[in-house]
Amino acid sequence: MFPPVSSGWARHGWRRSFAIIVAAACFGSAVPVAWADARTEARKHFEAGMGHIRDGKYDSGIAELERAYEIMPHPSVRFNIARAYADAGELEQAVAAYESYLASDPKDRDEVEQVVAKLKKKLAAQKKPPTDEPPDKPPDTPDKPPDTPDKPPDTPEKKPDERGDIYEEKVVTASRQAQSPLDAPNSLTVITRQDIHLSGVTRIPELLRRVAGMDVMQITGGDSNVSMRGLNARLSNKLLVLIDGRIVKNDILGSTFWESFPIDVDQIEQIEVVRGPGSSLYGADAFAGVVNIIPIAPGKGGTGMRVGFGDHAEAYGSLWTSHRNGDFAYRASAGFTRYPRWTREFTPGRVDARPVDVNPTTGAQNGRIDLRTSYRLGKNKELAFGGGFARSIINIYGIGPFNDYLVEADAADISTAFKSDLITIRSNYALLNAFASQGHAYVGHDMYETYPVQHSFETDVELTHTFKAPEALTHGLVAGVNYRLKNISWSYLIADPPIEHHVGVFAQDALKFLDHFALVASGRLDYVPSIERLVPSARGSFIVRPGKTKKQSIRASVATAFRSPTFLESYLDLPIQLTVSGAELQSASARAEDPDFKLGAENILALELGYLNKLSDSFQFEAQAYYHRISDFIKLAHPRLGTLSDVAAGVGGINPETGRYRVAGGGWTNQCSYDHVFGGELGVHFYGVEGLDMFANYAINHGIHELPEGCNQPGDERTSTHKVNFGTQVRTPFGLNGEVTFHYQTKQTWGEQVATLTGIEYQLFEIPDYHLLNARIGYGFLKGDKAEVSAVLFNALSGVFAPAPQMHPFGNRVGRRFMGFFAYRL
Amino acid sequence: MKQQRETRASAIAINLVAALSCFCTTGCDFDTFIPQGFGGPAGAIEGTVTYAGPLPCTRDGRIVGAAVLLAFEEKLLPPPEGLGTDPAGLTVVPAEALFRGIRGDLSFAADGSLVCPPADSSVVVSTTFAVAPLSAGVYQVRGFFDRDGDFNPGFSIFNLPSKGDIGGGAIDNATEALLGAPVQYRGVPLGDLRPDGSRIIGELGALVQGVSVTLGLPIPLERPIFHVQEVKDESFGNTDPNKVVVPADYQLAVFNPGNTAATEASFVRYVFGAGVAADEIAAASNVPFSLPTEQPSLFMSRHDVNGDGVRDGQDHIPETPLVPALLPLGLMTKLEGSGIASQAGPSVILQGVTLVDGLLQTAVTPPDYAMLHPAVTVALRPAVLCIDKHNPSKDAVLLNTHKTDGEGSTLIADEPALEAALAKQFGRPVHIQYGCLPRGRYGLNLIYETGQAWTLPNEAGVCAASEPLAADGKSCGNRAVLSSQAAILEIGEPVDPSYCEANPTPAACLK
Repeated sequence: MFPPVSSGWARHGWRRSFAIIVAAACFGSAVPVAWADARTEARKHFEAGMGHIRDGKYDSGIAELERAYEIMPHPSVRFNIARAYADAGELEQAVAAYESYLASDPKDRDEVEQVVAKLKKKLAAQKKPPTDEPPDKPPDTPDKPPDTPDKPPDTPEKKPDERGDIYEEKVVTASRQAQSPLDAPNSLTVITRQDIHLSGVTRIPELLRRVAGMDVMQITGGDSNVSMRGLNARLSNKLLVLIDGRIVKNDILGSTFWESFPIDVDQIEQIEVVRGPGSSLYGADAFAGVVNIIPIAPGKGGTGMRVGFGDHAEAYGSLWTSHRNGDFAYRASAGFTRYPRWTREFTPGRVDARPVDVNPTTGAQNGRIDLRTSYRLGKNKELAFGGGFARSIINIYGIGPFNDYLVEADAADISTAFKSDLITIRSNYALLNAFASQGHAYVGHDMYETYPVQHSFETDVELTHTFKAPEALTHGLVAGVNYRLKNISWSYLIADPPIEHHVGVFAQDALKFLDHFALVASGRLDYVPSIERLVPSARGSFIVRPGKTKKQSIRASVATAFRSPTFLESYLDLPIQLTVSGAELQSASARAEDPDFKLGAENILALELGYLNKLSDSFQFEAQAYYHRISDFIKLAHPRLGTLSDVAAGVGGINPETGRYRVAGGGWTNQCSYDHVFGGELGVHFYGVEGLDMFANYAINHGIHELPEGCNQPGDERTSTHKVNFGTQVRTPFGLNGEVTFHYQTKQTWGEQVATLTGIEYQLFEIPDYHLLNARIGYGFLKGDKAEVSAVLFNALSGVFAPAPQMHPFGNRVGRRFMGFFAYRL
Repeated sequence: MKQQRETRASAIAINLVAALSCFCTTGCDFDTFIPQGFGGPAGAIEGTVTYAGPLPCTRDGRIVGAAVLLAFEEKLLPPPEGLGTDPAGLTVVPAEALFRGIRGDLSFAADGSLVCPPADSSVVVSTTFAVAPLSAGVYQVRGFFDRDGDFNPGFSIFNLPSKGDIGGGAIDNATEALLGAPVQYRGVPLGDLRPDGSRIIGELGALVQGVSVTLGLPIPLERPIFHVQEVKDESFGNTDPNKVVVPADYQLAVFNPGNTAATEASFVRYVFGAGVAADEIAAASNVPFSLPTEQPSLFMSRHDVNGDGVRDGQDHIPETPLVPALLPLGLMTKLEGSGIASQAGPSVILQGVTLVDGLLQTAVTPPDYAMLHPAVTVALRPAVLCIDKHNPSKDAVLLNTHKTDGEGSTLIADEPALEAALAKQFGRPVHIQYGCLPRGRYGLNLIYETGQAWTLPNEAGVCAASEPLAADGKSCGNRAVLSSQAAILEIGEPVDPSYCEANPTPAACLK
């Protein structure tokens, strides 16, 4: 759950530790810096150790490797330690290290076991009475030994680590395959397990807030909407959210119910956030970006539990176990979360309105269970199977007049995959079975109680191949086909919405040449049933990695993406009761007066120029500038008052189903305006002092609303012009650890439709700037910090300098929360 | 030492979790925060609606019609008592719900055609209703059962009861009213009374239950459907009945009770003919209008202006006791932009003088005058009332163009008395001012004592934005256009611009 903190810190003494804490406390609020990066620290120790071993300094080299392993355990480090012991002639320690390595059940188990057998044989021979025969040479190792004393250290076969940079950061989302962020065609950020642990944050959207350019909006205690580089909304639908590659946004609304996941933050290995359009690989809805939540793999992460409790009965519990037995591995988890509301719109005891029969203090509640398994079928072949289930209650804000809305949802998924070096086949079935209702309504008004059910099935077949053709060009080819079935029934929609069959084919070639250059071209063609057409998406990136070390990259990219209309947008047919309760607006995707009307997909064209600098082992710097041209935004249409032509056509009058008079028609429209968005992000991570990580980032976003002739649609920003994050993480040798983060964003303007006495109209709302100061302090104890207590304070300054922030004009006021945790791992 | 530290840490952990577990023992209450644009605590009225009248009609397997209940704030009552045209609340009890208990007794045609039991059939049924949200105030609940199923609140030509519907409301004297006595509506207070007499809704809202609404008064008249039959204008030469233009500095040449002919001729007069224009009758009787076109007429009667329950010599027009006030009221209301809806605020209302042919004939109408006429004459006063209907705390202005007629005779003999009378009528101070009339388009309205009204221009004569007008101008979208229903009055440029420069329209009359 949380990386072990080195006992070796004691070597540096308390004085230095104290200085670090003081520095962290000071910098935490004043100096822009750093991201927690145990990975980099481990890598530094690893590289130093391998250097010593190369020089024949085995003792110091092994000590450095041990230190790297302490910071971030990795089986390959054990392997290199074993080799070093073997090379140093310390065969007993070598056997012990190899056996430790074998305990991780590596893929080269058979080869290593042979080596261990040889070593044991040698040891046994050594223990025999001495003879006059010369001693045996050390046994061969499965790979070339990192170094031997009798060979010059710089010969090609004496590479210190033939397994590559085992601590190099890898991402899988930007190109659907593992690669360095320096090679990624989009800018991206990774939130690590360490970030999750040290932040104490249990809401995934709040973890995402620290990523430059993210728009995170808590509307209720349980409803967070996340977008990127603007474009946020109630029921935000511009971001493709995946868990281990499978889509978790709901097809009904297009939004993501973050609190309905079958896993919690304790099951997450890392979260990859890819900025910019991703439709060229992921198809529809990877509009503003992609968030891929990568869980801890079966067989990894051990067994443990964490419980937490906070004010307003905030609660969190998580239990997990993971084990590998030969080729079979599993990871199982279960958990419970309860987030109370921040504020409430309905005061108990109100006589003019009635609430829905659900706990009125609940913002979100989630009980979950998840089981994932894997089975190795041979070298680099694996079969995976698993499923999850979550029962949740979420207080969300819908669209239009649907505010303070409650969803009780059962979400389940079953997934299976076959993975090999060449081909990956994934299939996933997901079910969402919900009850939904307004949280409260005036007497005589509709609660809109409904039971939506969503079945979706998705399968991907993906080929990955790297080859050279001609010799100077290296191709990294990814190609595949995707099928997704959507079957939804919901009383808010037309009686029998069709079962949608979405098909997409995609391909990407990452062409590397002249050692420093790469051209990544990808394209995808999707068939979207609701609009009955094929939609192409493309992305091209040109990447330069200058310098000898190539630890920096300059990237220019252009991409298109689209968002297909959701089921709500495609098949809506719902009478909306107006404030004047005897009248209603028929909100429908189809228009009786315009049978040819069909909602189109939203489109985006993005240009991006980015720079990533990982030259230093002490800091990382990134900068991006982008331009987005957004067209065909799907919005609620301006209500169309009923006409006598409607009456002549038999439309209008009293609705026998509702007993209300239809006075207008509503629905959706593709906005006729264009939005030009200019923006950028700057980010720096600093991790120059062991145990101290700092980060800072800044994002700017400026939109221009273009109205073509004849188009009269007011624009709204829906994001802040400026957003700032900075924070500090501290890990100490005596078990104390923690994080302080600060977030600030400037005011926003939102355009929303609201119900008035005379109908539904569009109004602009301003919400003021706000800041969030979050802090966590934890203390690990028992052997190896198996146990930990921690306290988390969210929005510590709420109400101190300004009223509690309101992140959406209709949202709750997000106040201060305190929570304490206890964690224990076996 | 290390063991001690870990034991201490364990204790701290346990205590921390225990302390946190106690967090909610002192209460886990939440602040109530109602975002802008939300409906917060409001007023609500619940009660029972009782229908006593003929059996309902059936069609297509359903019971036709609905009980339509409207909540009017007492300071914003509909004409003729007040100026509130839109109710604060509207709720509907469908006929299927109202007559659920007797559904088995009703007849349904096998072919789905309309079956209407005789008007003298009788049934009494009840069900519950609720009206919300309402702001603080005192409300009258008025309503009717739309027996013929032609009501539709989305169109001005369908949004009021018609002949054969069954009227009523929350009535204090229900028994007497059913026997013919004037209806006395019950005031339903919502919210807490404040020292200044106003009301406020508390944080838990306000609910009045047990309000009994009775619908048992058959409505005898069709709505006062009319068209502009003729314009009589000796001053400005208007001849087009569908567009009359009156200058902003409109001044009566003569206002002399002793010279009725000249006085009458000084007014621009509309002659409103009953029903639609003759050449539109066929179209008007068809879908989507379905207007009553047989023997159209307008019902004229004396108006109990002072509300004392007696129609007598005290009920006269403000300018002179010699001319009694008549119904239907003729009101010209300033329109919003180029649309057909009245201006939201302030309301600018030019109240005409309703005449039986001419001043002389009007002057001799007896107090119990009540007669159907094929046409009604309405003379335009050179004055408008500017009033913010939705803000009763704002004073109103009676704007007159001139103090005198063209001959120098004073038009308003007793200004304080008139101000007092108007203040009583509109529930707020009314100040008499002089200046040019607000320019723009004005709609034409005729209003009966029952609240039934008709307005020009209306949807029948004007195409909606989504209804393209045919090249021949005879149809919008898929329906006909009734041109007579597009008539407007326009207050235009002044005859003497310098007069308007010296006497501009006061701000209270401008949007």
